[in-house]
Amino acid sequence: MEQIKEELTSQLQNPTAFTIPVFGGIPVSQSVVVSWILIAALALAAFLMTRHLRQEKPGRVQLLLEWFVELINGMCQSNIGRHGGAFAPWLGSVALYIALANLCGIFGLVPPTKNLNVTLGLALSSMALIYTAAFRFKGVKGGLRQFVEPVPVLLPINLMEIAIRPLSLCMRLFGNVLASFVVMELIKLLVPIVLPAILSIYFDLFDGLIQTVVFVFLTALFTGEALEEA
Amino acid sequence: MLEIDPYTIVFTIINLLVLYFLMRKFLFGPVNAILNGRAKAIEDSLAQARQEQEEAQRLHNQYQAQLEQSKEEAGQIIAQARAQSSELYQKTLADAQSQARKLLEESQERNRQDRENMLRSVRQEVADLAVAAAEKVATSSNQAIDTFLQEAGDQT
Repeated sequence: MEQIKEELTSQLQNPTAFTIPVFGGIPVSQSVVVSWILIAALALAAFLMTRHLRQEKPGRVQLLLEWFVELINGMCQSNIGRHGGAFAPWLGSVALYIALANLCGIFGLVPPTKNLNVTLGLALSSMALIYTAAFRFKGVKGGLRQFVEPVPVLLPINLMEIAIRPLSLCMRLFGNVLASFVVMELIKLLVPIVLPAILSIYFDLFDGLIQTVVFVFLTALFTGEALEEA
Repeated sequence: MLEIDPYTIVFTIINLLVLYFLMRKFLFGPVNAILNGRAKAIEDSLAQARQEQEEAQRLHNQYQAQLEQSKEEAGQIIAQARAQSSELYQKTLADAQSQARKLLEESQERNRQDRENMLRSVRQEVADLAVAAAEKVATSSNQAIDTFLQEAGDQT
């Protein structure tokens, strides 16, 4: 039992991969390195796949890309409204990153979303997007008014939401990935073969994709709320 | 496990921004361009098809009208020709009839004259014959009278 505990604790550490020797040393965690690998892979794949796009008779790869882009565009337009198209590239990128980060355990990489700081970074950027969207599309006055909607009495709650929303987004993603990781590790310790592979379909693939959808969908929903009546 | 590491947070945000620009450049930009281009092409071809259909309908109506007009004109021409030919027929028939009647009358007249002429000449002939016969008779009776007178004289 002690052995299992130690094993788990060591698995849950976020080791520093290396330190950039400037400003007294900037530690770069393993999660960041894995993220770089994922981003490089995504960029390379996107670059290779979009080299030969055709307007007529698209190939299978192009159909897949078109399906994904239209899915994100449609999701943004139905949840955010007429300005939705402007948010599609950001939300699509976030979706690709989270999905790949959640699933990269399959390829033997440590999921970056297992690191609380990564999910916190994701949540903070989503919040920045949500609260600046109203200023961007409705002006300063409209941007400030989002805090007294629907009635001014709710101002304190709206202000609290600025902190609550990123916390919930961050913790939900982190908690889910962490939990499925821990569960999978325990199962691997108990039954080393067959069963982990089957359950991994749920805990790694399904949960990873579900959390991706939840994160992006909630971001879109909050943005749409901020842009209401824009 | 739950310690906050500001470097990782900042790195993650920078990573996301980099990913966003890369994806916008290599994925969303090109694919959206293709999608919009296709939508525009479809819209254009639909508009063109609609325009062509309208043009075709217009031409169809025009030809229909022309056809109607031509039919009407043809009918008029046929009716006119029929009237003309009927008129000509009647005229020709009337001419022919009058000419025939004239010829008939002429021939009748000629026949009548011929007969009259013949009758007149026959009557003349008969008269001449009668005169000749009377002469002969007269001559022969003079002889008889002479003979009688001779005989009567002889006796006396």
